[in-house]
Amino acid sequence: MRIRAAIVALAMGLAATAAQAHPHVFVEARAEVVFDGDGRVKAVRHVWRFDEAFTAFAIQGLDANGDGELTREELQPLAQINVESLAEFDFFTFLYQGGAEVAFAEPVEYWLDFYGGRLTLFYTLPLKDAVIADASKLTLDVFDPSYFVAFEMAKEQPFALVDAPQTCKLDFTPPPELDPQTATTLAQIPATERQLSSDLLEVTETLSNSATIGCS
Amino acid sequence: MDEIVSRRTHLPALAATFVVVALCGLSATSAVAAPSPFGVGLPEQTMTPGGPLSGVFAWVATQQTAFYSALTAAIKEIKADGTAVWWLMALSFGYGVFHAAGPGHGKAVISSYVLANGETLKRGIVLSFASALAQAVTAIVLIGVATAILRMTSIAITETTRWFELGSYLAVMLLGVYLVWQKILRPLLPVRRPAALGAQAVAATGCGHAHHEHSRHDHHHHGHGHDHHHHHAHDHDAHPGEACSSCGHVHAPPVEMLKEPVSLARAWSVILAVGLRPCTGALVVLVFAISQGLALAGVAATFAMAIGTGLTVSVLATLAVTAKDVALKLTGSGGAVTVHRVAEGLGALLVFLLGATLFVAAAGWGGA
Repeated sequence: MRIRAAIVALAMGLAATAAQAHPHVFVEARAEVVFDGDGRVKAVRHVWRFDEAFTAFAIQGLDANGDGELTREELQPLAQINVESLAEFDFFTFLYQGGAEVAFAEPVEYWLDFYGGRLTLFYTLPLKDAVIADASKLTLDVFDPSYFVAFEMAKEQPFALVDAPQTCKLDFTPPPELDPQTATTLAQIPATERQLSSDLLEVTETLSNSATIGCS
Repeated sequence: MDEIVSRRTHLPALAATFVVVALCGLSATSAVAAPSPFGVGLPEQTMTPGGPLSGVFAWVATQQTAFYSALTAAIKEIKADGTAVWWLMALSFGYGVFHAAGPGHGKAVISSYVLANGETLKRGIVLSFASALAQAVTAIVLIGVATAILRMTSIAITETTRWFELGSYLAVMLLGVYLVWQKILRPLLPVRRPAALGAQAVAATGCGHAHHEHSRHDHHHHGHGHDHHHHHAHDHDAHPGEACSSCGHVHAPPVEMLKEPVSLARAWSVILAVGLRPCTGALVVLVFAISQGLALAGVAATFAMAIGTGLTVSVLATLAVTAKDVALKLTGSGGAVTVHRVAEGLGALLVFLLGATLFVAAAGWGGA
C-alpha cells in the first residue's frame, strides 16, 4: 500500500506540472473617472498601451491596404474583438461603493491607435446606473487577478477625474514593487482563475492599481 | 469458475485504487476554460497547482516572467548588435526550460504516457524531445503559412490555434481512452479464450511452453504484448497453488517487454497529440521577430525553446520511470506484477483525465 501511495503522490506531482500563470501581455494603463452634469460618476474611460511583442502579434495581417500604416479603421476589427473578449474578464475594472460592487454596462466609444510600435486601446465603460460620489468613498481597481495581463499604471497621471465637482478628490497610492515572495505567490494563480480564495485575493489586492474617489 | 471468482475478489481492490487516483487526478487537474482577454493570443490551459511539488512550480513561474521580458528585449537588440543572437538563443532555451512544455499539458501527458506504456528511460527522453520539437515545428509552420502565404490576421491565427488546441486535447483524450482500454479494462475482463485453452489446460500443458508461445506471439504483435502479459500474470495470481509456480516469476520482471521496439504508430500518436498545440509564447515571439525583420532569429529561438522544453519534459519522464523502477525493486518479484499494472493503469488514467479535462475546458463545456 505504501508503494501505491507513493505512486499516487508521484502522479499528483505530475498532474500538477501544468503551466502556471505568467503574464503574456504587459499593459501601461491610465483611467479616467467621468462625471455627468449632476455630479454623479457615470463612466470609466480607459487608455491601455500594450507592450511591443503583444502589439506585433496583435497587428499581424491588419494592414489591409499594405501601405505600412495602421489606420483606426484598419484596427477597428481588433478593437471590437478586444472589448468583446474583455467582457468575459469584467474588463479588469472593479468599482466599489461602500463595499458593494458597482455594475458596468457594455463598453462604448472604443478604438485602437498604433504609434511607436505599440498599440493603445481606448474605451469607455459606462456605469449601469450613475452613482453619487459622496463622503462614502468609491474605490476603482484596474488589475488582472489572474496575472495573465500585467497592468501597470502610467507614471504620469495614472488616474484622473473628468468633469468632477470641485469638492471631489482622487487618491492613488502606487502598488509596492513586487517582492520575490509576492511574485511567487501570484505566479501560482492559474491564468484563468476568477474565484480567488480570500488569502489569494489579499495578495492580488496589494498589487491592484487602486484609486479612491471621495466628494465632501 | 474458480478463476472468475478470484478475479472478482481482485476487482474491488483495483477499482478502489483507480477511484482514488481518479479523484486525485481530477482535483489536481481542475482545468478551466481559457478565453483570451483581448481575443488574440490564447492563454495556456492551466491547472490549479497541487501536490507536493507546487512550491517548485511557483518558483518556476516567476522565472518564466523574467525570461519572457528579457527575450523580447533581446530580439530588438539583435538589430543593433548581431551577436545578441546568442543571448537570444540562451534566453529562449532558458524560457523553454522554465516554461516546460509550452501548452502545459505536454509534460504531464508525456510522463503519464511513459508510465502507462512501461517505456524505458531512453524512449521516454526521445519522446520528450520529439514532442517538444513537434511543437516548435507546429508553431513555425502555422506562423509561416499564416503570415507569409495566407496573410491571416492575429484574430484568425488565434482562432486557428484554438482548433489546433482542441485537436490536440481530443487526440490526448482518445489516446487515453485507448490506453485505459488496453491497460485497465481489458485485463479486468474475464478471459475470452476457447474452452480447450482455459486456465486448467494451460496449467496442464506446462507453463514453460505456454510462456514460450506468448513471447513469440509478443514479438509478432508487440502492440498486444502487454495484454498477454496481464492475462497470464493475473492467471498466476489467481492460482497461487498451481503446479507451474515459476510462471509468474518468468513474466514478472517487465524487462524483456520493455526492450521490445515501441509501437511506432503509438509513439507518433503521442508526439502529434502533444505537438499539435503550439505555445502562445512561441507564436508571439515568432511574429514579433518577423515584424522586426528577423524571421530566422525567431525560428532559431523557437527551436532553442523546444530544446529547453524537451529537457524539462525528459527530466519529468525520467522521474516517472525511475519512481516506478524503485517501486518495482522495493516490492521484489511478488508484488512486481501489481506495481507494474498499477503504474500502467495510473498512467493510462492520467492521460485520459488530462485529455478529457483539457478538451472539455477548451471546448467551453466546463460551465465557466
